[in-house]
Amino acid sequence: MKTIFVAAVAATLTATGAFAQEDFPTGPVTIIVPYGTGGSTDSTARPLAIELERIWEQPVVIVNRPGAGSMIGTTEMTQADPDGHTLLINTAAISTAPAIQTDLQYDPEEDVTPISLLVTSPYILVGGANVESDDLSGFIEEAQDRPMFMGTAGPGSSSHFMSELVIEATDLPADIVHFSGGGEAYTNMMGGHSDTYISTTASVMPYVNDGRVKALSVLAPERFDLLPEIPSSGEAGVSGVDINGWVALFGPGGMDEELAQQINADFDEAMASDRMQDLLAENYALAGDLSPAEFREIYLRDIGIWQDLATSRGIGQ
Amino acid sequence: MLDRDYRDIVAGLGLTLAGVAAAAYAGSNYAMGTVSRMGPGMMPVALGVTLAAFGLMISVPALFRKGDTVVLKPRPLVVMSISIIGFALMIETVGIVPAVFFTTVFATFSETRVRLGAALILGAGMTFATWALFIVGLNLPIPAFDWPF
Amino acid sequence: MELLANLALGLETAVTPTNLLFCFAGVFLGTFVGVIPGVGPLAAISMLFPLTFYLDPTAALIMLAGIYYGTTYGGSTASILLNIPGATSSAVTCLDGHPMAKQGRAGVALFMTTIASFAGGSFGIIVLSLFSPLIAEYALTFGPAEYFSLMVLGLVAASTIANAAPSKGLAMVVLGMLVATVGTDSQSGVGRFTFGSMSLLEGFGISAMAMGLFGIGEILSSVGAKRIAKVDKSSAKLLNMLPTKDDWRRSWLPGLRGSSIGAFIGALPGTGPSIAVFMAYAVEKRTSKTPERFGNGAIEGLVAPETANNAADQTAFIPTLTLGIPGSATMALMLGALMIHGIQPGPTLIVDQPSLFWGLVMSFWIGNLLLLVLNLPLIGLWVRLLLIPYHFLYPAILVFLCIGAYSVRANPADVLVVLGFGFVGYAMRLADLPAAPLLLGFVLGPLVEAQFRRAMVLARGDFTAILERPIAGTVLVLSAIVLIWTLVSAVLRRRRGPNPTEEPSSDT
Repeated sequence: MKTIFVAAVAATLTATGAFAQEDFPTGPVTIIVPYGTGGSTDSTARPLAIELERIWEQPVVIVNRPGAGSMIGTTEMTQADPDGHTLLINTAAISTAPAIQTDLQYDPEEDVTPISLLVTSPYILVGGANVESDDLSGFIEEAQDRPMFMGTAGPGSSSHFMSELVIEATDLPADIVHFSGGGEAYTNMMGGHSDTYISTTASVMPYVNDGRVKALSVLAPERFDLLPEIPSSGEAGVSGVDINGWVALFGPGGMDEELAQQINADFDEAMASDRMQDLLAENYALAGDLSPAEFREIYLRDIGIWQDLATSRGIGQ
Repeated sequence: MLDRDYRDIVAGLGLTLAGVAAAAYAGSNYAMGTVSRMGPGMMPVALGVTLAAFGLMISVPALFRKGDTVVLKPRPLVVMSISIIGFALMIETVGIVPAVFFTTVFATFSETRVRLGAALILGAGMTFATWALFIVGLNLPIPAFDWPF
Repeated sequence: MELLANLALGLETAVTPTNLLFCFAGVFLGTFVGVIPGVGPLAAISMLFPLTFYLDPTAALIMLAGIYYGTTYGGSTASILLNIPGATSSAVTCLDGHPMAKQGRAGVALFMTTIASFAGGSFGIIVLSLFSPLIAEYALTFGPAEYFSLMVLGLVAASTIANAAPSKGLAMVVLGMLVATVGTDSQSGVGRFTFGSMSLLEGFGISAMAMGLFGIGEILSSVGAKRIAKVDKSSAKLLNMLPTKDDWRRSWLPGLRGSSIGAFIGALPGTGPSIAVFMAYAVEKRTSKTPERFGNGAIEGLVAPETANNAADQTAFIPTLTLGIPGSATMALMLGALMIHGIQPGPTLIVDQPSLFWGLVMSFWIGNLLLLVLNLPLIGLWVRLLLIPYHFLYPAILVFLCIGAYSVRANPADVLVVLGFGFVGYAMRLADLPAAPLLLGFVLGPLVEAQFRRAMVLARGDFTAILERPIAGTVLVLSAIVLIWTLVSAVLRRRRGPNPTEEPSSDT
């Protein structure tokens, strides 16, 4: 199938004689989602695919390739041709993986072309049943008397890295407890078995709105526009924890710059649709507004931050 | 009847060996950690040692009792393996239709009861059934035919 | 009376022609897809999930729920008739269901399974509609220490489910736990026994293991052996499919116990139906006056796990719907279906979307009813499957096993993993080692380890702190008593002289 497909593309290319970008896409586009069906990344990718089919007038196929903390799907993407017909939608996991996975089967700098930041939102520190304080400075004080248990969705998850980052930045007396996924981390926090969890707005806000957990702080210098009632870590005098969560689009390494530019623009158009805007509003998230080059900088910066943190905190040793 | 229960002796010793090997490998490759934060090595080592102990509990008493003979049938083992390995190799290279046909027909060679004609008919029937069910019915993304060239 | 009004509202939603149609479509598809070994609820729902993407949320969930029950039921059918389970829960159904089929009572086994599914499902639905919020709150008090103690009880119970010496059962539980350590360690992220392979980081799939150990193992030991006729035409007659009075008498109490165990364990996020099923089976075998009948076609050994499974399937929706936290991978998919339609499950779901919640509850019940209506007439058809000579049947089973194994992750290497476990399964049959405890050790092992290590972090390394927790302490003491009792009674029986029922049943 793949061979036939590649042959067809090659034939088209020879016929037109040049790599004409206006012709993209020349066939069905596959978007790899390195998580299971029905997960949060999948729920972003599927409506996007519907919008893109409208824009491109070509079938857009979502392929779920879950496993190894998104690395199975990501590795598969890096092995495809950089002609834009195989893309990947991944979360910040793609930037944390190089810090913990010792046998990564691709080069995160060479084999990946960052194309577009699709969705972005800050991380929020939430506290469970046993936490008495209502903001970050109160929480840090509370932890001096009663060392905290910071729950994560698993070793190497973004909640793990962010928790380690908070511990490092604030000298917090706290222990990390790894749960199996965010769901378990939430139930244990609600039941008072662990104390905190860190995740993006889309994940924490339903529980915050239910009143089951409380939002202690947005991890950013300033308050977040969409949730102005939550205090920021900057107000508590804490710095060095302001990294945002994201969902982004990637292609295989060595993709033509103009092609990346064009795909970036097409996705911007798709993100501007009512369907996607509604989804963003529900998730208290913003659409990304970066060129491929600007996003590449963030991607590489985040990889660097996580690698340094992994070394200094002894993660994945 | 054999004068010793060799079946349990071999089974028990096999388990002991597996347990010791797993514990040794885990112990030398993974950190044991502390009591409050156990490392990845703790559990495999504990399980390996326990398995080795149970293996001895199975094999030692078997030394002192009579046992049955165990018959191994090599033909189905070999034929089935080829049949399954064939499927794994063919499904993504030449597609589900040839893979199913090959697996079905070849599997019948495990026994001498099915004549070749009947086997071919069975193979054709199974091929049609799986094509109708998985490709047409469930619309699975498996190619029906595919050519590696 | 509020409940009645709610149920009426639910019924109104559920019996609209469209929803009824989707419910039927789901149950129907599920039943047939579920018969294919390896295609459990998770695989079936993942496959059919995109179909429901375009439906309205109630219809989508009703259809997915229908697929869920349908596949569970279809899995039982394949387990009873051919001894090829595709999921952990149906591996327990094999233990007594398949011997019944061998005795020419396949029709009875299928009939009782259908009834047990309906009864267990109905029980679960009653619990779901009456106690959802209450149970959700109670489940929150279960932390790592509590889960750990519950899993230990499960492991101790597991070693006794097979008709083998306790040392063999326990050895297989431990082996299963050891096999389960292959893959990424949940507490450190380190890959264990992966030898640099990326696909091993995920560990072995439970369905690959069940298919290999039971399915391929069964084929390898049956092929080339002298076969006794499994059924003759007469057993496909209606009269021979009906359970006897004795069957009914033996079944109702295990059914009730199975439902209760299933409903309780299913409601805990982080356990899931498979544990409920093993527990229900172990309890029946323990409390039975004739434990030696188990594994040889005891109807109690079929009814208890089937009711437990279906009750747990229902109550597993409790944490999903009321807390927004899925108890299993299947439930995570269901949750995804809700969220894709912009519905956020949580305590407010019942209040905000009463027609959705109660419509769902009632459609669960209608789904179970449809399952009953659809499957009772089909039993005759299924039993006729056994009239096909085995030498024509086994190549077909083999193909379905291969496709089932492949379709889970679209990875040809998974087919070879199934073959590998098939060798292990065959070797274990030759060595007379029981497969079911291995499977349970495999399922519970990672949970026991993760919860224990978490509990130790939370207790700051002090084990007595775990024992001092009321629920955890009680359950751990109970486990110790059961373990001691098992060992003591085994020694006593040996002293009393060789007991013929203790001899391994010769299957080969």
